[in-house]
Amino acid sequence: MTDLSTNAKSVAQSAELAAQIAAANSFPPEPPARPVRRAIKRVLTDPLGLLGALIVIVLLLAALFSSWISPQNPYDLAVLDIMDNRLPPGSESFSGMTYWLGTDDQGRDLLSAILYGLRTSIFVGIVSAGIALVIGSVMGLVSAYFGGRTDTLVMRLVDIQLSFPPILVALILLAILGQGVDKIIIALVVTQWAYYARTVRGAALVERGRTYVDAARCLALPSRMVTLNHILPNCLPPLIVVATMRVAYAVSLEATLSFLGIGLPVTEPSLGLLISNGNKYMLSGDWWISVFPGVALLLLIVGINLVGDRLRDVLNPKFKD
Amino acid sequence: MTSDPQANPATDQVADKQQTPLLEIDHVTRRFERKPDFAAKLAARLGAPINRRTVHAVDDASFAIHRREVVGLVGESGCGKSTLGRIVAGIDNPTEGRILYNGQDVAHVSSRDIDQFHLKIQMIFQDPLDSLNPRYRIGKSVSEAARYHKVVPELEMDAHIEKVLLQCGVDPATQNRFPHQFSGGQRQRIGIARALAVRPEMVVCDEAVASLDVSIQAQIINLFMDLRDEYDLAYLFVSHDIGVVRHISDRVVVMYLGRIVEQGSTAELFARPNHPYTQALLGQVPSLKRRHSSFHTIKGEIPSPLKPPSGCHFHPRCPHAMDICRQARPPLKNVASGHMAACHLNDQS
Amino acid sequence: MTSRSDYTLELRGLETVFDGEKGAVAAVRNVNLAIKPGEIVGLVGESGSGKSVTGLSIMGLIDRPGRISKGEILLNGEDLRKVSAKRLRSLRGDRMAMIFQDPMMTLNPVLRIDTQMIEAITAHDPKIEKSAARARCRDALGMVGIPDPDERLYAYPHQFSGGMRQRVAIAIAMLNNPDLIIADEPTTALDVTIQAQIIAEMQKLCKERGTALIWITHDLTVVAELTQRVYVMYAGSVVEEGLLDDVLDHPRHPYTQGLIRSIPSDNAPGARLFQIPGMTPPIDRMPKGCRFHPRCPYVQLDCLEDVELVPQEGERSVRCVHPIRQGEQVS
Repeated sequence: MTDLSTNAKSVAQSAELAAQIAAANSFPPEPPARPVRRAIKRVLTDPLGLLGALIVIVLLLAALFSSWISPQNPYDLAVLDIMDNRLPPGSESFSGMTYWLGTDDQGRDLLSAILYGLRTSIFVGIVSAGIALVIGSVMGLVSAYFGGRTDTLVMRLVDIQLSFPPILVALILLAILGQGVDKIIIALVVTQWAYYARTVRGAALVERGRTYVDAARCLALPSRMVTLNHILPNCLPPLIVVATMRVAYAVSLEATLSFLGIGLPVTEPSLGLLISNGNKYMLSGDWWISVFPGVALLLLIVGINLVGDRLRDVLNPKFKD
Repeated sequence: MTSDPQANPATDQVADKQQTPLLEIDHVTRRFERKPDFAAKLAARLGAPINRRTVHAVDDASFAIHRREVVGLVGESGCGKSTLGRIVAGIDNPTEGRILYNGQDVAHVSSRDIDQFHLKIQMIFQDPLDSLNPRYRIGKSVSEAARYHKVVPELEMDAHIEKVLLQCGVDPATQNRFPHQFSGGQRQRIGIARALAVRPEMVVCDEAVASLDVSIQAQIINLFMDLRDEYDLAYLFVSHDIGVVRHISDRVVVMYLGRIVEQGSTAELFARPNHPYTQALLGQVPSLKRRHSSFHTIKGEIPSPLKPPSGCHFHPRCPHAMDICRQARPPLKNVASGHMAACHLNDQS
Repeated sequence: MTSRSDYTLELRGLETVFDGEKGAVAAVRNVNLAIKPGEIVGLVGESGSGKSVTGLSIMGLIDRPGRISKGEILLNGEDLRKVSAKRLRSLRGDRMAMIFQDPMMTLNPVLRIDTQMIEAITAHDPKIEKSAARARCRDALGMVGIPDPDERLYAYPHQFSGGMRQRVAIAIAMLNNPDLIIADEPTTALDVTIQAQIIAEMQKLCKERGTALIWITHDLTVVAELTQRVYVMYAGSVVEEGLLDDVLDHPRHPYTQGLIRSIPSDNAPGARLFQIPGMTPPIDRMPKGCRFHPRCPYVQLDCLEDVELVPQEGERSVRCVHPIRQGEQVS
């Protein structure tokens, strides 16, 4: 940032001398700072971060275009042929289609089922994490900014929430609400918002104590602007890290619930349900029904976690250990 | 732009004094109390002694600042000078006492007008990096409040910000950069520009040059003086650095453990310090003229503000301590025109 | 000890570099420094001048990506760059010690003061009896002006005030009666009355024991009160050295002159302060030739050539193509 040439101008006695000195001191200008681009670059230059990002992107694209790239619509019972059930990978159907990953006990093409299941899992994970993030962040910010009783109330609620095992809370909720994508999202939001609230509150408390917040208050900016424009953006790094990890957690929680048979309806299997369906055939040698959805789930969670780990290192060095 | 003592004849100053001061701090006290929480209350019910920790950060302080006046507020850590500065800047509120701005009690200003009052007093902070939002480009940092409060019409805003930045010695072409891309001195200039952008009449500088390099300190002090000439600013200059305060201030207020022990014009105070603490403190003016000196230091440490000594807070370290010093708090008394000190030694004469 | 020397410490052509993305950049370049027993020397400079890196280099406390790339560091004639890591560890804390701006750099917050102090003694003298060690600790605390040293030995660092904590750090540094103490801004964070007390104690202790003291600071006024000789550093090099009075009364380097002239209390109150324009260049963007020339009011074209530290009459040296003559001064 030192512009040595302007320094020279102000001290040198003659313009000619100043020009010569300035010419000798010209440094190439520093590239402009682009914090977001820099963070992304630093995630992608790490081999593991890059691997994670690649896995996540491929799986995201596959899920997004599942209805186009799937050989079969696995939710359309009309195209399923029960005669094709439990065919090993690479088998050909009666109508001449190849089941690259085999079929399940309903005669569903597993590749198609996994792609559609991936779509459901990612959708549920991202939407529930997103809603939980918004609710949790608002609660955390309110808690940190107002302090006192509000803070006590919110944080005790968080404590209570976190003291129950999430799976238990979700089980109870689903038992009351019944099955369905919307119901499972509600259950996931209820079990997850507290994590965000705690993270945001902690970060916001630190930020609130910093001088720039004093400065903003001294400039008579309203509380709404101070919290939303000043405090919240500075809480984002830990929030982003927690959010990535929580998406992975939401996906696996949904899979668990579906595996237990209380998540999504059997007609629209998610990855968890596919694994569960194949589970009973594992011992009879039909391994593929469980293993392939399992691998897809594993890849998704590992991918997200790799990106999340690297993000944590990049965004918040203090978080490291 | 040498400031010329002739430009401000004594007669002018007398006339000034008779006007309403720009800012008056009237018997301001600020206590920090740790309120017993639920568990502590429960413990108290069960017979545990209540441990009420009260700190008198500022204890019954009164002084005034006039237009264009620079008042230095000095003292050591824990003396409450920063708290008082924050109260003046409106970031903190007094527990007791009033802040009068142009004769009007700030606490009784309607909520519609209060923003305008707050804007008139701005603050410059010790740590220039921490005082700038790291996610704001500096142009936004400087212009945000001016824009929100519509200090100038939107059409003139860019020109206004550019002018302020230039005046503070920041190249307006660097508006798109983030705080971490600047040096400490530059960041402090940006902080000053941010304060000036809302057209204040008074600026509270809380150790504003303490974290800067020596050569940069001189630049910033000169900038403060230039800006005073340009905008008729008044300053409350909170600092532990006696040398800087003597250089920049018209009047000096000395605090010790939350209380004002002495105040007076800079020349008078440095020539005839009255309070033993002031004498010791002013004896520490950093100067190149004092070499290989053998030190006459005051004894002991500053006591904890949680348990301040009785009577005059300074008595345990005071070479002249008498019985009465342990018992009664000495009142601030006039010892010369405009020079007040709180010391029992003055009772005798 | 293989050889003796008149000097407690001698630096010859010290260079410390930091390896970065764009290659190694020198934080300290070609620093020569010598200090005799009992002498107090000031090392003055602003942030980025390399004064702290110099101190850490002497102590062997430079960590990656930094490294000492050139020069000799002779402690009592023994080159610290050539000794084994074990030998260096045994010298550190025994023959040389460092005091930091933040005393918590040397104090462990979870250990009692006596534990830490006794450990500092037994690390270098394993055979000493516990009671003797404890007595030495108590004496050391008393010596630096801590009241009730017997009682305070059992305290934890957080039970001390900032000033007292710094005294404890000084007591620990003094424990083994080292030949050299490096003090890096030890009073900067303290209140003025406490600063004055500590400076007075240090001065007295070093005089009594013949300890050589290098006082690293940005504050010329502290140097004026405390030291006999002074080294002024700018942008990684020593730009001027000499006896205190010579340097302060007749600075020959424009940077030293600028620093002296910008001290508020030596200017008329309210007058415009002399200011050095601009700022210290960042370590990876050093100007060519004399590193001060972009900020120098006396700059001329030949300042773009490299310049060495040139000995002058008397005990002093200046790194300047056009050293200031007596009385010369720009407004």
